[in-house]
Amino acid sequence: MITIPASLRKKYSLRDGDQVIIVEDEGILKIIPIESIKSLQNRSITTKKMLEILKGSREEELELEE
Amino acid sequence: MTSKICLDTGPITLHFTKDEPKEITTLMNNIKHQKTEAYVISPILVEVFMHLCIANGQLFAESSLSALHKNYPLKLVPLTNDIILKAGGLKCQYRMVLSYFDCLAIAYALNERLVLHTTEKNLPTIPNLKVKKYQY
Repeated sequence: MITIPASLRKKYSLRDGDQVIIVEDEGILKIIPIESIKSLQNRSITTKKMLEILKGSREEELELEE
Repeated sequence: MTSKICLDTGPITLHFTKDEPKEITTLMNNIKHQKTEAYVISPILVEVFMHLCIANGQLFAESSLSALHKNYPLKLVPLTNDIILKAGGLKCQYRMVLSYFDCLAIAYALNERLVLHTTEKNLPTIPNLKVKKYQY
């Protein structure tokens, strides 16, 4: 069991029973809260903007091939 | 009957948008309820992460990938020699039009005879490749 300090629980909106995953990152353990898909979607950008990002990154990669 | 598909970056990335297209919602629900078995070449998730990171930051991307693993029984496919050789051949042949990630997903779809689900509009005609395009 891990106890996360109250100040950090408040800052990251963590409540009893919330699920998290722990990942290793260059010798540091990171705690990543698992949010609901709906909550992530609400915080995200629109499909139109996401498609622009998809298109842009693809074009950047293909330009490197020229 | 369960259908088997190969998922490209686009549909997964669009699942994490404010106004997720209805077709993507249906696709992801079918995966969640195991009506569709979705195979994903592992590096594709690196590209999904990159797009989500550019869009909403690293924490968002980390949370999204974690939620994806928790909520959807995606079949993650590691890179095998068969896929590497096939993808390498595709990249060599179509290097001006296909990204490395495209090539990996297409290689797996071709080898396993799966339908590739993608948002990519400008895929060249590749013999034997079956594609379901999500066009927005």
